[in-house]
Amino acid sequence: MSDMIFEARQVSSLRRGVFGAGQVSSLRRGGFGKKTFKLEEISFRLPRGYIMGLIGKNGAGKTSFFDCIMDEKKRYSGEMLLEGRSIHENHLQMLDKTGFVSEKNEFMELRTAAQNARMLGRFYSSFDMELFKGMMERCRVSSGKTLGKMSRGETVKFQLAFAVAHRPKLYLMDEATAGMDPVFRIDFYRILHELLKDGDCGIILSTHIDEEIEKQLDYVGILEEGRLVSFGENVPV
Amino acid sequence: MIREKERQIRQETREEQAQQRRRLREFDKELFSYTGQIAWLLPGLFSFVVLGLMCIPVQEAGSGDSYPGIVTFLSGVWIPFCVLQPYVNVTDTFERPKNNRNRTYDKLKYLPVSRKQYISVRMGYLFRYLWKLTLAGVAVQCIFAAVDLGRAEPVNVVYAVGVLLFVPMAAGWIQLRTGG
Repeated sequence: MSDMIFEARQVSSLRRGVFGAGQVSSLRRGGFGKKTFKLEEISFRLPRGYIMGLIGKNGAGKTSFFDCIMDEKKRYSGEMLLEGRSIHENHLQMLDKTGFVSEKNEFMELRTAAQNARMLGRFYSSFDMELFKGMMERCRVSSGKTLGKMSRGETVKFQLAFAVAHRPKLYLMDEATAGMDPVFRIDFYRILHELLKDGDCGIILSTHIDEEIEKQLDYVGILEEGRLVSFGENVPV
Repeated sequence: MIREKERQIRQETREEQAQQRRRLREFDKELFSYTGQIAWLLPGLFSFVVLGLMCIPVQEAGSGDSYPGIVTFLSGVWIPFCVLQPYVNVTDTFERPKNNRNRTYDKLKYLPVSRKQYISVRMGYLFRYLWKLTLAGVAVQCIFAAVDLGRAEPVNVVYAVGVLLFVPMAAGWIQLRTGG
C-alpha cells in the first residue's frame, strides 16, 4: 500500500478551444474574448494521516481543484492518484473512498437527515447508519430535522456525519468551516484529528481562516490564479 | 494468464454494474414513494387516448387528419415525460420545481453512481411500460385495419411500433441525457 494517500502530478484543467475545436490545455482565454479560468500544473503529495489546507483568494481555483477530483469525466491533463491508483481509471471506486463536504454537494432538502442518509448511503459499500447517527448526535443536530430547514453550519455537520459514516480514505472539504460557530469549529477539528489518528486516511480542506492555517493544518498549499505557488509542511511562525 | 486476468476484471465489472443497478432500483423505489403518489395515473390516461387514436388505421392518414401527429406528440412527449417524472426530480410530481436543484442526478453526482447506469436503469422503466403499450397498440391498429380495409399491412405494425416504442424511447433518452 502506498504511503501517500493522495498525489497530484502536473494537473492542469482542460478548456474547450474556440468553436469547440478540441481541448487545449494552454488556453488562457475562451472564445470571443471571454476570460476562462484554468488550473495549471498542480503537483503535490499528501501522506496518510495528515491534513492539508488549500489556501487562496476567492477564485484562486480551490473549488475547481475539488471539481477536477470529483467530476466523473476527466477534465484535466496530468494525473491524480488515490492510494497509488489513478482516480479516473476507476472513478466509482474512488468516489466510494472519498468523503466530500461542500456547498455543491446537494442532498434532498425536503427529506430529513436520516432519510437522506438511508436513501443515499446505500450507494457506498460500507455505509454505517449507526455511525451516522452517532456523529449527528455528537454534532448536536437532530437526524429527524428536514435538510431544507437546516442552517449552513448544520448542513455542514450533516455532510460531515454522512462522509464519516462511509469511512472514506480521503476527505475533501471545500470551505467547510465557513459559517461554523467557533465552539463547534474546535470540536470539528477534534473530530478530524480523531479520524486521522489511525493514520489510514487524509484530509484536504480549503479555508480562509488564519487561526486554522496556523494551528490545525499539517501541510499548506497556496493557490494563486490556478497555480500552486507554494506547498510544504506548515511551520507556525 | 493475461486473458484469465482480463476475464476476471470483466466479470468483476459486470458484478459491480449489476450491484449498482440493484442499488439504483432500491433508491428509485423509495424515491417513488415520495414523488409518484398520483404520477402513475398520467401515463395511463395518455395511453388510453393513444390506444383510442390507434383505432384509426395509418392508411387513412392521407385524408387530411392530423391524428398521427397527435399520437406521436402524446406518445413521444407526454408518455416518456410522465413515466420518468417521478424519477427525474426529487420533488412531488405535480409540484412545480422552483429551480434546477431538484434534479435527482444532481443529488447522486458526487456519490459512487455512474451516469451511464443511472440512464440505463431509467430507460429500463420506460421500456417496461412501453413494450406492453406497443403490443396493445399493434393489436388495436391491426384489428381496425383489418376491419376497415379488409387487411392488415406491415405498415400498420411499423407505424404502431414506431410511434409507441421507438419515438418515446428516443424522447426519453434525450430527456435523461439533457435534463435528468
